[in-house]
Amino acid sequence: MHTHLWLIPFLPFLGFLAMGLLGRRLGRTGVAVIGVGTVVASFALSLIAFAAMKAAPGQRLELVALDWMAVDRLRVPFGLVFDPLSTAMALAVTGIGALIHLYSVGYMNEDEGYPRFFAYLNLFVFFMLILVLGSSLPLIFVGWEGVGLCSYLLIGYYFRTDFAPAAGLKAFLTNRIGDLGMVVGMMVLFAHFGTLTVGELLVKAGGLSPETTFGVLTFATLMLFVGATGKSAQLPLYVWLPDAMAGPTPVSALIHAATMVTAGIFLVCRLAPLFELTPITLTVIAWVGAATALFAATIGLAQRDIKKVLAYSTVSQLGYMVLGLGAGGFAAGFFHVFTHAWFKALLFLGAGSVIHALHHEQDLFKMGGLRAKLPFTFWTMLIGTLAIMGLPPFAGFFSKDEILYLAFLKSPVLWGMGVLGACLTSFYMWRLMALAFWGEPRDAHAFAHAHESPRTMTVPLVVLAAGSAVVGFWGVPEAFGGHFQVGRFLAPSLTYGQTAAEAVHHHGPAVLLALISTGLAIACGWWGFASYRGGLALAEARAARWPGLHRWVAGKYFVDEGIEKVVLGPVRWLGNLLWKLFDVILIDGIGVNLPGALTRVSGDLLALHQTGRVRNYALLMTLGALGLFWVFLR
Amino acid sequence: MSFAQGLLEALTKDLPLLYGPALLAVAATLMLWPGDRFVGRGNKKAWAFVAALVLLAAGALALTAPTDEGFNRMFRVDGLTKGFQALCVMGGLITIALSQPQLNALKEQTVEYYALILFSVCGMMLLVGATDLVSMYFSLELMALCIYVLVAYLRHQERSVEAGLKYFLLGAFSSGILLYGISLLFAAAGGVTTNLAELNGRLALVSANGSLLVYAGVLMVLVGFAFKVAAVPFHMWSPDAYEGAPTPITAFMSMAPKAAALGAFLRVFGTGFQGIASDWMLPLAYIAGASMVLGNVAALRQQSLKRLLAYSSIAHVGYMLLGVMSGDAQAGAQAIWLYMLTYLLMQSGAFAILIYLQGKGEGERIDDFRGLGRRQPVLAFAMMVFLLSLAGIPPLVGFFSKFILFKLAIEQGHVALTVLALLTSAVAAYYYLNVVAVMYFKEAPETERAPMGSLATLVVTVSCALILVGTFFGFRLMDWMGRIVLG
Amino acid sequence: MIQTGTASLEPAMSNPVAPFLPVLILLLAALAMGGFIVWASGWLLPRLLKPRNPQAHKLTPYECGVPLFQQDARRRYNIQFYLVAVLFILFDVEAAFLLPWAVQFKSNLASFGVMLAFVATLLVGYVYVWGKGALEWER
Repeated sequence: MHTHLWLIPFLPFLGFLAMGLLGRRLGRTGVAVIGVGTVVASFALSLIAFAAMKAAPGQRLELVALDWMAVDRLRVPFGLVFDPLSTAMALAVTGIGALIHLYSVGYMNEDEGYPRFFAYLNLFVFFMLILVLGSSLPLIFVGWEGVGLCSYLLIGYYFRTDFAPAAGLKAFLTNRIGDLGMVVGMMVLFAHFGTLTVGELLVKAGGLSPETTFGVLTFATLMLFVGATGKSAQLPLYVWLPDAMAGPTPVSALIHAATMVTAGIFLVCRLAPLFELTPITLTVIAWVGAATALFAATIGLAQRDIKKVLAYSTVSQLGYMVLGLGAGGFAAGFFHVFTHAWFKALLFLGAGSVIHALHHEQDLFKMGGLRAKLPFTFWTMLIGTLAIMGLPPFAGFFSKDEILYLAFLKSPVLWGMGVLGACLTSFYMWRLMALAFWGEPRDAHAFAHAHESPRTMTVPLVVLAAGSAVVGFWGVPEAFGGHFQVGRFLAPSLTYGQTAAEAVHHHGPAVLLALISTGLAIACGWWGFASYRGGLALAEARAARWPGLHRWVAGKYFVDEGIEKVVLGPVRWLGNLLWKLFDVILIDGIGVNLPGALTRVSGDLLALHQTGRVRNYALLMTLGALGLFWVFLR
Repeated sequence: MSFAQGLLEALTKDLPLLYGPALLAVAATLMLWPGDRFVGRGNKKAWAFVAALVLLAAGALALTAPTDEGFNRMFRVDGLTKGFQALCVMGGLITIALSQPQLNALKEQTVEYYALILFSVCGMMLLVGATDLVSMYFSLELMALCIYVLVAYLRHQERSVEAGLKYFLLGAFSSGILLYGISLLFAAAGGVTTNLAELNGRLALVSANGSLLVYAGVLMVLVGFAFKVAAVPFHMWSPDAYEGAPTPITAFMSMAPKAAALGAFLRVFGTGFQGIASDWMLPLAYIAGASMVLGNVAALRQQSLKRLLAYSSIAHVGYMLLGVMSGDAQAGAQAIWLYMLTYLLMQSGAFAILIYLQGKGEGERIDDFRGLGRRQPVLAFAMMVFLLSLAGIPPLVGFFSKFILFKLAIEQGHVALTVLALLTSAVAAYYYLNVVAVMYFKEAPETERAPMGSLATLVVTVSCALILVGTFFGFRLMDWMGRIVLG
Repeated sequence: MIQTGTASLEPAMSNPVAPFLPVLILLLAALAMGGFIVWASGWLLPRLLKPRNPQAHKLTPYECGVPLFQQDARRRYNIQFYLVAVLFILFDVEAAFLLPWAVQFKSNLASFGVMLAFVATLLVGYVYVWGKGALEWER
């Protein structure tokens, strides 16, 4: 009865097929119409799905098309599930995806790989939808790998450059490490529960006594979280995300800020009841999240590339989300995913607009004074900045505050780290704004040619800015007189029919904590703005005063270089050894080529007996018959 | 009752068993005379159409024939008969389709060509149903004599005539051996019967005491059949005959007579001589093993695709003999039938492409396939499907048929031989893939494209489609077909 | 199908080769007879009867135009020799089939019809061969 909902993922897939197969034959307009149209249609269908889900019993709708794998005990249906969590994610993916598709129509206008770009983008939307809607872990994993693939393809989109393919490869390989964790986690879960369907898994987990399964579950959830750290760029697997900015800016906005990177958080939310049973895992998650939030924020302070700043900011914000999950606030974590999708997409698209206006200039130090030239971009980015720094009543405030509050309940140290991170966030965002839009233009030529972006690019900006301003009201925490609607909305997904955890009712310090953190953030924001408004002089002076520190921060703590030396170098050496010794000499040489050569030689020898003379043939036939006779007589 | 009355009665009672082959014989005769009198010199290719229709009709008649035994227990219609008859008819049809371009180009369209094909298919259809050594011998000769002539059909080409002559001489030699073997068995069984079932019972009694006579007889019959299916060491004729024959006839020889001879092989050894299995099992195992090794290894170094396919068909026969050796006659017959069916598809497709390239003036050398992937991507893809399937690479259908056969052999305890089969099919993968590599990775001088001809296109398309369909439905489909046809 | 005629089967069961003893005797007799004829006609009789006036043509083994010794052994023979020989054997063997039928024939329309069909088949073949010109010596 709900079969039309299958179209939600498969419409973008059809779009991908059409654009991938027909390519240039569609023409630019055709590509744009198909690319944007399929995603918009998916969005509309997602709205229908939302209504259907709300009407369904238990707010849960499962569609099963067929048995996908049925081997022995393993039964994996090919099915979609619509519940509050997945439907909200689907709405976000298709909604923001549609805006970014629209934006790309303008942004990629001059690119010759137009159809390829949109085909990849549509494929990404398809896989992302499979990821969020899949009803079993293997299907989710298909989406998980699929988005990884698309991310790889899109990061390396400018394949003629040196760094873009390398960055794509880096992203892919780093993610593989996380994927290994996810696979191991899935195996453990299957071995223990005998199923991989999310629904059955959670029902079975609910019936467990914690004492007997504690160890297994902790291991499984930790492994799944390893997977999440890969995809959601947490310490220590965050290294790929900043490099991923080598891709086109809409890609950065869609994949590496709004949707794909939240897959890890989504996975944890999807299996929330399972994680709920394993406090050790939750603690690990919380600390990883807080550390990531703080660590990435410090790097963001000294970046010159506008997209790099936003990239580290994304890593840092993902850290907040993970911190929220670790603090037991699955709804809070998800809420931050939701608000972050709006304002980070906005910021990226705004940055893209700036870059587009300056003809692909990404260096902040070469910008300046663009306020009047790019009014739409400026105002919308301003809203985004206010949202990310957590100024009430913009979106970021409510979600971040809820997370910080929960972190405080878990441990004040976590809260402290979070607040410090928020202050740094505020600082580097205002630094970015000041460098880009205030002060004197530092590159006169670029400035002179700067122009506001076309309508297809500004419309998404305005829509996203409006969203960034208001979506926070969906989840006003109870401390501020709200009802934290997000939590209620998600409850059916997060508790999965089990009794809900005890709600936290003492709001004593909540308002006070919010005041402290917001005040500090505003102060730091002002500090950052003031330092860079006038130009680079102050910054250079500061860098000169602490050269060592500056070098470390600007060099991103030299993590990449360290990995290169400690991990990649030896691995490469070993690989070389294995290749030369085992592959070339032992396997290729003695193992393969030698028998091959022997066989070839015997083929040559055998060809000799085919003399072409009938008398020889008849003789051989006779000898053969006699030989067989001898076999008998022997 | 007089002899003639008995004959008449037998005819009226048993003739329905033979409607298919009888139609072929009568139609072919009438085509020669008076049919050909009324057809002008330039219209000979109309006979292709007529022959195809006759084949179709004969196939339909054969498939709807009653399941019974007749003609003094000399002929029997059952699942095995029908299954292999269908294969022979398919082989004939494909050959007629593939012959068109070459015969037209060489202006060699004659009614005899088609009549000979029909006669030989008639012989095959009788062969697979024959349950008496004498009727089997007659049908074998009917089949073979026609093919000798067909091999030498291009009588202005030296190598065609040479191939035909060689084949004829060696064929006569092997026929003599076969006939002598039959007479020895006849004598060993007391000189009263040549019927397979009766012979089996009697020979089993005699052979229990280790009779040299029985062994010599069985061995000679084995040699005769091994020659017909071109198994080592009685294969010597096949590379030369394959190479020299007109290419469509090469395709024909590698499909239809092989299917028929294997059907007869099954009939004689798989079911007939079960009682004296110990007498022929070991020699047959040697023959099968030698065929796999020699066929595959010798194919490695061939420059001509025709020769390559000839050698590889020796190897394929080696694999199929595993099914003859199976103690479970029904399962063995099914496995061989499936293998033969898929083999027929792949072989016909490969030959269709080979013939097309020959028609373009390119040769049959593997080097002529250089850059086909770039020049004619669709064709090259189809060729790749055929070759990979021949190599038995999963998930293509050739893998399934091979798998079923090997599985059966393992179940029947022929482990060593199956291991040998697996090893040699790895060798086979090399030379098949080599052609694929040549098609895709070797550069070739630009040549203009020539139209392929609708019939050959049809053959390629249908074979390729069937292989791909079989790939997707794999076991289920093949199992089902095996059951339906061989019941 | 195989009619064993009057020979008794009993001894055959004890010794399978026994019934073929007459065949062996016949074979030996035939060999002896053949040998004698060749010897008599090729050596003995000419020696006794022939007038002795040799000439070149008479010294060739076959007086039909085919030289026995040639420079090149791979010389082509006229294909008609083989064609006629093959056709002869074909029709000869098929005509041999008429014999048992004639022996058993008891004016019966059905059996007559069956044989008529058989002969008609032969006839078609004959007409075909004729039509193809296989019977013309010179073309």
